[in-house]
Amino acid sequence: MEPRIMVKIIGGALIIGSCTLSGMTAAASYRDRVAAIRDFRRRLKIMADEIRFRKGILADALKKAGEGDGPAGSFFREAAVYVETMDAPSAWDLACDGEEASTAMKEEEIQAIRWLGKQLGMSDVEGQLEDIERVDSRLAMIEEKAEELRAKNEPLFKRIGLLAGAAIVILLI
Amino acid sequence: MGYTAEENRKRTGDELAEFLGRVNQRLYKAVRNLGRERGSLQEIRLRAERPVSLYLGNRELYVTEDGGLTEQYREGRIYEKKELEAIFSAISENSLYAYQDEIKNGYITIKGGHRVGIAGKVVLENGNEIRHIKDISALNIRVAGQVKNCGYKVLPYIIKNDRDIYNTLIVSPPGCGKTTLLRDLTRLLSDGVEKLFRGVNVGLVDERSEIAACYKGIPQNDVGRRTDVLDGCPKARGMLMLLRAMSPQIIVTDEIGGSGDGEAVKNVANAGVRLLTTAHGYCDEGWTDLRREARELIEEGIFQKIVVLDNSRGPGTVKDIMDLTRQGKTNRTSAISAIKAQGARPWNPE
Repeated sequence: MEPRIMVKIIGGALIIGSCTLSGMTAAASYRDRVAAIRDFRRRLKIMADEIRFRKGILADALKKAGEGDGPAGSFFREAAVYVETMDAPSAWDLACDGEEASTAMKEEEIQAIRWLGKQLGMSDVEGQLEDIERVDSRLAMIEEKAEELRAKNEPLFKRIGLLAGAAIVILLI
Repeated sequence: MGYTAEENRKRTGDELAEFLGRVNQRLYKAVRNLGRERGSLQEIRLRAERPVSLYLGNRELYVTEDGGLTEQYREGRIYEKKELEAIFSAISENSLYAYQDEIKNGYITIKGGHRVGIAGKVVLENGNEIRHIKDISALNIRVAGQVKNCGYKVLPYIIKNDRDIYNTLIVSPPGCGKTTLLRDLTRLLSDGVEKLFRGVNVGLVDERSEIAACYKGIPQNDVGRRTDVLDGCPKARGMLMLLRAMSPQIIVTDEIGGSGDGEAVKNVANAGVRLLTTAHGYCDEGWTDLRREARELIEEGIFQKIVVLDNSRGPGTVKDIMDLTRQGKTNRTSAISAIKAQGARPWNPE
């Protein structure tokens, strides 16, 4: 095979590959967002159970919620470390900053989570559970919307990546 | 032989300073600035919109802006309500809900067995049930003061043999050292005393967390190696729970006299388990100043020994030890004269 054709085929494959990858990445952000919210809600439930049944201190409840693998685990583990040295709202806020920078969560859910920090550890068990419930309800609504977006956009972006790559290759040829 | 009262107070003062380091730097500095006087620190009182006071015996010092100490009220640094709330939040490890039941009682116990009293707006539910205290306006950090070995002189008069004791009631007005003596006797009976008493299993019902001062389930005061603590449990129920579950040889509890206590005490006595407890009261011949439940128990012959304390030479002065094992409800034996002959002194003569 001629070297020129060889270069064209390899170049074309690279373009299609990279465009597909971009599409997959964009699609994954929708999937990861849903997974992160879902995992966060699961851990929030663990934290609520710790408060409800064990009535242990906040640092222990956060540690327990942060156990195991999952996209939101690091949030709770970090908050558990921060709360040992500062007040609960500041610790929660700092963990939110880290989450904003590092995970698939979007501003909308981060804001909902951030609200909880203002109330954390500042009321009785019933008050804490009510606040957690409130945030969980808000996150449930956001998760539902995020799931709809994922169902619509995930396959779309996967296909768009491939098709865009193919279109570019055709145009270049 | 353990620590002296002064050494003990110094040690607890150091522990408290370390704790305050995590709560508020100014208070930490103030307690450190006490230097050798840390051992005399009894209370730290924080009030919203007023300076913080440190009580050392009869002296009252105020904390200045830079954590110094002054006797002048006006030089004290005013603490805002917000700061007080932040301090309380830090004291409760950012977990007010975890201390909810204690807060309802008006205090929480912190590491080291120190007690933080709380004043503020009480939130009621169902008419008169306390749900919570909000708008915290004052905190009183009371430094724990376990006085080890203060029970040595009383112990010989309440033991029957090296494995058994008499049912004993300690009676005094408030502030005379009932709980301090009870705590040390608990430790001695649990650990044992060479040539005098072999240690036995002791069940302790610590309804107000005053005796063992448990923090996260661990006694902060030394109540002995064979002592099982039921912390925060109502006395009457706790005594029966221990009786059934932990098979102790001695059950210890503080301040009997509430409704239902008498029945529980009788159950304990009938089960062959010995009882060591206290009651508020001024001890006269007719027991008129004792609460009805406690008086009835004495009249029914449940207690064989009654230790009477007063404040005549400082908290912990043993005024009398009554032996009711013989006929007559107030047959005072030679026990007290023997104690006096030994030169019994109050353990805290301040």
